[in-house]
Amino acid sequence: MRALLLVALLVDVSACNAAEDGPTAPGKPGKLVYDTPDEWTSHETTTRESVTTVWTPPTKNDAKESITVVRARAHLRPTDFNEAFVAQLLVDAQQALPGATLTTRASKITTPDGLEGAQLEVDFTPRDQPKRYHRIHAVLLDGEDLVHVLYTSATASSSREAFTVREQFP
Amino acid sequence: MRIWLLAGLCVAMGIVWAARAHGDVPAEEQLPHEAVESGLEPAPPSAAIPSHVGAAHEPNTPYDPGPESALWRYADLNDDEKALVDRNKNTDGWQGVHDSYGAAVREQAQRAAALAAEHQLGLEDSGTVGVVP
Repeated sequence: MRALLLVALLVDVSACNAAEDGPTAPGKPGKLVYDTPDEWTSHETTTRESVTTVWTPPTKNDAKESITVVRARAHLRPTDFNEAFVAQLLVDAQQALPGATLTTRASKITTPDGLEGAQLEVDFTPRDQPKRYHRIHAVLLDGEDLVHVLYTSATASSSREAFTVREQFP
Repeated sequence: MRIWLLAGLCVAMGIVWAARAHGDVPAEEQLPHEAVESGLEPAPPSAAIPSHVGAAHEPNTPYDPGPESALWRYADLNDDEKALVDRNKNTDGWQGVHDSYGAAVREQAQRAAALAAEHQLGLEDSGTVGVVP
């Protein structure tokens, strides 16, 4: 449920930034601002074209849960910057995961603030890990950037709540 | 001293005159003489040269082997001809090797496409990000 809260706030603030600040400067993805889930800790990595924040519970993470938020500059032609093309790229990109098996097809999502994107679920076996992991990957188009939200866990049971943003926050 | 100076001037004028005299020969007078000396046949008329000769080939594309009827396919050869093509080597098991290489190439192509898609989406090494060991 905490995961659900994080994703919802991310989408809302992202939409506000896009409306107030306009497109971000080339090569400088906008700063991602959002509220944090209670007790979860984060680790942020910044590169020239992306800001990645990984949230994990501080203790007792038996499910090996994490939420990763990436705001990145897309390398797309303007004509390809649409929900349908990004959804196809999202499917193609999953093949880079070791032993990837898509468990759902890519579906279109729309946030309450009108941001469009795509979402899918995939099972994979990370390198040097004996267990299968489950991931829900959503990507939203925001200005000239893409916002990725990845929920990754070693169990698939608790993950589905995290990406029901559109139903939970109308 | 003056004699040496005049002699040097004469030599210089001689060199200049010799150089100009050689360069003044018209081209039309030189070419036939050289062609006869080389013994080469004259170039054929341009209409006799096939169109593909000298044409620039697009890189990373196969050469045009000609019409389908002109092709010799391995499957159409008899056993002796196949043995000749295979240089009389034992080809048992070759198909498995070819299939393995084919599968590896397809796998690498798929991975390359996946990495390209990752790059277009602004992601990098998504297989490790967010994975709690």
